[in-house]
Amino acid sequence: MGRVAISVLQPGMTLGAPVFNARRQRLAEAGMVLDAGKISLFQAWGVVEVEVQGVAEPSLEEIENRMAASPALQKLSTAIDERFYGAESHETLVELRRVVKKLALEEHEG
Amino acid sequence: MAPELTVGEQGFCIERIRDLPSLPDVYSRLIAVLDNPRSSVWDAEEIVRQDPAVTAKLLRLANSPIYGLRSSVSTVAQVARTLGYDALKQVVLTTSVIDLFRQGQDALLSHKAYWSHCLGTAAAARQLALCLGEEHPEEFFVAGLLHDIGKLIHMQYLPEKFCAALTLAARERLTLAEAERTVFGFSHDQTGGLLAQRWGLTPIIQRALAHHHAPAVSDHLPLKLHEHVVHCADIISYALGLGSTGSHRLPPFAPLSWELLRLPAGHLAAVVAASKREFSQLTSVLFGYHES
Repeated sequence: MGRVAISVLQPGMTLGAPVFNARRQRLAEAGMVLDAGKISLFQAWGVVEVEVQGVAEPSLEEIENRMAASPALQKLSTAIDERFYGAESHETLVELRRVVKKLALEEHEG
Repeated sequence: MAPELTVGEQGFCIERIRDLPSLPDVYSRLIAVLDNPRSSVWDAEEIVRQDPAVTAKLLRLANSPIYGLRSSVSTVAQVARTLGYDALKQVVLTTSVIDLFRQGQDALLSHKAYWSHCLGTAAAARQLALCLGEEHPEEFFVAGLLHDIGKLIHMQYLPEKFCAALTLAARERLTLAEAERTVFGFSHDQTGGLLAQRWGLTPIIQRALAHHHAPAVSDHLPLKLHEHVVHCADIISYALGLGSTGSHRLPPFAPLSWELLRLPAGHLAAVVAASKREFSQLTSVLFGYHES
């Protein structure tokens, strides 16, 4: 299960988690198969991304490999590592670092 | 007479600070009105409108994507009716508290960098609260916004010692709380808790400020998640590199707090992304530019 930007959602994809708007009103349930109307509704409510079944989240290693391809991204990746300097290797912190790097990569790639 | 407020054995006494800043006037008067059952939404509007700068920022924030309103609001009363009194209080506090403590800025921790980190923490706290289905997410936002307020007290009233702590943190790669304790024996979380008490903020907010670096579960108090949420939000804001904290390493990590939140798998990514978006919207309204 992975997070997918609203702009690349396709009818037929299955939601992996409920979808909420900014006021935490539930727009759709996990397990719903998307159609064009539902995707338009999400766009109208300003939803940016949703959880979709069958889409794998990239690992930290995969993200770092992609960031290594560009000097600017490599610098960003190093800066993020610096923020975690001395932090213990608890699984939550490992996941947080992965999430922050993935977000930086997505923002950089637009 | 106010109870004596002291910080530990070090002898620092916040009561000695005679001109300790009070809560923003517009916020204090708004709270008084909203706590009065005979007051109306028009009384709240009357108070807020007396501060045009706060009113303008309030309307811009209320109409920003943060609140996802389908039609825009143009009066304080509409904000109150549409978003509720909790949100009104939160937005008024946010727009007014940032102008407090303008003196005592340090080159090592600017006013804007300080508030940027706090806004990031506030946004993350609200997003975590929303994810957890908490009834009053704005209360979490306020706790996040004010969690480091003790630093501003130190910056303003103990400028030389605070500067020494900032320098030590940079040189030895410490958290600022560790450096503060080394230099003057106590840290901003303790001072923040005392200030929150002085300001008459709720005990939940007081605890969130005082314990955000070391949240705990008390045997004799009902479990409230605020201090745990703020602890996690502080780490998220730091990890995202939002603003500056004066620390040179990640804040202390309390596994208990993350376990208590029981975030479903995959939801951390959603919270982090939403926090970053909300932060950008907040800084756009409050600082007049987009900060990412």
